Amino acid sequence: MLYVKLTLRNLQRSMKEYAIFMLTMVISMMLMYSFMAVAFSEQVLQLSKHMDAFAQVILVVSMGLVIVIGWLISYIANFMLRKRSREFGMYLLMGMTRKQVCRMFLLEQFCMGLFAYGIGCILGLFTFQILLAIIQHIFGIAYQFAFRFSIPAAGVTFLAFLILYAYELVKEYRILHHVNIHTLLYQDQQNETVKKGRLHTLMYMLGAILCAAVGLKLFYDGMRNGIRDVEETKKLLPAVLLIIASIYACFLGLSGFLQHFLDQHKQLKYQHNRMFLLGRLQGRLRSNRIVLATLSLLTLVTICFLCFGMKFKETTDLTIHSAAPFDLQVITQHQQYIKKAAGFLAEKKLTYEDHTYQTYTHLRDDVKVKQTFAKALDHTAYDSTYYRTTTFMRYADVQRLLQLKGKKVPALEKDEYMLVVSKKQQELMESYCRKHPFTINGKLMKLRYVCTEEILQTMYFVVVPDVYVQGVKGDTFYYVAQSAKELPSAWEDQLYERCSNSQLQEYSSVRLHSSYVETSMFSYVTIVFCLFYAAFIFICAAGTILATQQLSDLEAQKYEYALLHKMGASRKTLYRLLHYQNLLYFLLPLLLPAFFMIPILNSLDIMFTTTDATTPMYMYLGITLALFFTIYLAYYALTYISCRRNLDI
Amino acid sequence: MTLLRVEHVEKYYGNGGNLCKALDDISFTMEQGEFMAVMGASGSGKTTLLNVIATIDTPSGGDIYVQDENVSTKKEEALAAFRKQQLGFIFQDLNLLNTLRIDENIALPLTLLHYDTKQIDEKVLKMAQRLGIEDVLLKYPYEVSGGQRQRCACARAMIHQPSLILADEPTGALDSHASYLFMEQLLQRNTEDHASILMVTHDAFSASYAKRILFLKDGKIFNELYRGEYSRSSFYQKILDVMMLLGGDVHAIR
Repeated sequence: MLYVKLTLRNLQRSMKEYAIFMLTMVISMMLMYSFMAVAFSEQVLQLSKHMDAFAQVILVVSMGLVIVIGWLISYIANFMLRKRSREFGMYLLMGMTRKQVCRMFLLEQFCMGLFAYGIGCILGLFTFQILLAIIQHIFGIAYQFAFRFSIPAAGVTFLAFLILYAYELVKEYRILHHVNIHTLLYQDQQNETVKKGRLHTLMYMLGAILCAAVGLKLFYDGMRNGIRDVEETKKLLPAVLLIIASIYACFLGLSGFLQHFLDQHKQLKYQHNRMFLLGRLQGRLRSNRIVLATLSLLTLVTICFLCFGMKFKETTDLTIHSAAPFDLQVITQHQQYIKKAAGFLAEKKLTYEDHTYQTYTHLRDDVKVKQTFAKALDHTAYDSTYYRTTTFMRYADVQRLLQLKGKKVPALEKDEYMLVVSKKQQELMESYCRKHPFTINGKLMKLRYVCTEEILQTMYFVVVPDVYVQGVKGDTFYYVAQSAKELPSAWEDQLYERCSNSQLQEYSSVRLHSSYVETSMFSYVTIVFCLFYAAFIFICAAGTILATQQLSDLEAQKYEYALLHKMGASRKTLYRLLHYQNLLYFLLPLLLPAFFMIPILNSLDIMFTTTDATTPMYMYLGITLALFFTIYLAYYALTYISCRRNLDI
Repeated sequence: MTLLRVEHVEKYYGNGGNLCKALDDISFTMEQGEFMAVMGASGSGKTTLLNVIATIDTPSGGDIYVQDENVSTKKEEALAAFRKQQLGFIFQDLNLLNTLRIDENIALPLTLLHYDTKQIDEKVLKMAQRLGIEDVLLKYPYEVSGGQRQRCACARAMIHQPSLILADEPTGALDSHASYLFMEQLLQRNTEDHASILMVTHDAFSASYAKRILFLKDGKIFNELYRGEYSRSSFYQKILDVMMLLGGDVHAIR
């Protein structure tokens, strides 16, 4: 009974002392449950045929996040063990067996986790509704409230919880079982060994700068050249490792660097109570270098995830229009499938308009053509063999296609041509065309009009008067149709079967706008949701660890501030110092991400060069940082309020 | 010149029927440059007396004057300024900030006073040399011995030349040799720098360095001893004689 009583009392006390950690665990369990519930929800699975893949992706991401949450639990459990080492030492000293002490501590930890799981699942019922509403809105479906407890979601979340705690409990059991009583009793009096000397600090800081410079350069080169040559992407892994090494090296040397800097600039140090503030900060830096470096890395990853997610949204929105410009589009090398596609639609008795056309890689054999359009793309992301060939189209075909989209285009004279180009490349192509001649039979062709309407899945093509392609054998056959009503996405597979013959190895590309939208929305939901899910967990984990570290030495903090008060610092000064102390500590892990953010985002942006997205990724930093700081500063505020309450001056 | 005047000071703890009188009508004065000790058994009120003089605690009654300024009626901001400028503290243990080096701990009062930053290092070095701790200036408190830590605390208490240095059981956590070294240093500061020192202690050896000792018993002044012309060892004996009575009355000695 004594042990049960002790365990319950310890549990009550731990839940109060580590309230911020409990909050994060509840949030983690809540998010895990709600994402699992989304993945297993019938309403979500019905939205698209791809949504079962969504469930698998969520599962994989959740298992990945289990590692991060597991690290957080491990950190806090170790922390508790260190802080309460004297208490456990006393239990053993008074005669409790190690088994009894282990059982008490592990039961306490398990109950804390179970509590978080229970509350998390209950709150998850509500966050699931929010996620469901968002997903249904993305797919253009009216939200329907359906309060249902998802047993599979609760089961998978419980499994994750068991994995998290099983490993941790075994680890703590082994520690408690083998540590000696003396170590437990005097652990809190141990201090870290201070490595002094400029050489050490210089090595770390120079190493950090070198790794950062080389890493960022490699990363940029890998991304930029990787678009043209896949082999170049091999640079990305060493680049990432160098950036990580740079972060850790920086934090290993930062405390020493700060000390040396302040010793050289004593005037800076002695002013405005900075010495006390920076002394506390340095103490924290020395004790928690590795953890702070890890949090810094997590923060950088979080910011990249959030910006990437927002850029992906922009790309998805724009790509839908360019990738599926018509309700139906069939592309094939074999003309007979065009008739079959047209026949399929005719059977459905729909109201629609259609058109069949071809594209050409050259004009009539009897005309002398001089053009260098492909050179416009030299030294750009499109500088590859795929874009070396210029595509030509007949004016009549383009006129009809634009008519289907409700647009008009001016007529072309015999010595005029039109350029159809993506909005992103309009300036580049138009300025090139105006400077470099396009001649037919020695006569200069005038650029009559530049159109940015999405018609063909190519970056640009040249529209010439019909006469120049008369009798020319086209390369590819196209069939497009615009319907009064949206065509069901299920027809895509049927059309594909009708327009292909696997025995003869003849295949057509069939693209239904509705199906493409569904697939895009699925990709968007999967990628963006997972990125935001992971980012949220990372921010909460970082905030929890920082808060716990600050709150962990409340007694020592109380004593130091009391001493300062006795020496004549007013209450106002002390509260201000406390605020700066906490703020600086919370800002420490953001130091390096602030430096790495923009070069890394610029490099990642290269991935989107060949898409229609024009907004640079770093432009999303504003919203990203707003989201990030909303959660991060909530943790800071909770920490400051707790510290201030404890000061008791 | 009178530095400190304590007039009819009282301190109560608790309320209603559970009242505890820690200080009961204490009155005394202390002159400039005097080295005074306050002795008594545990619970006699000596630390409480030190705390009210230091303005860390407020007296329930009476007045305390430091250099003719009544400190018992000052507001919080004024008290903070008073402590910063006029007082220096040495405690038994947990004196120093572990996050600052020894030199930074010593410099702390000067930074609180916004002292001229160009002169801080020089002052710190001079003080450290006088206390024999210049070799450990760049170390952290947990890297040095207890005696060195206390001498650092002494340096910190004196660096801004306060009117009054308050020491609460300064040798409580030190071994005999370290206590001896520390008390020798404290005495030197009193004789050479004319520092006014009010020390609370239960240790007769430490108290024998003072010129005057107040004995407290149950919150009241029980006795007072002046060293006068006595040697330290004789004074030490006299202290022991008085201390015998602190725990009980003459008839209790068999």
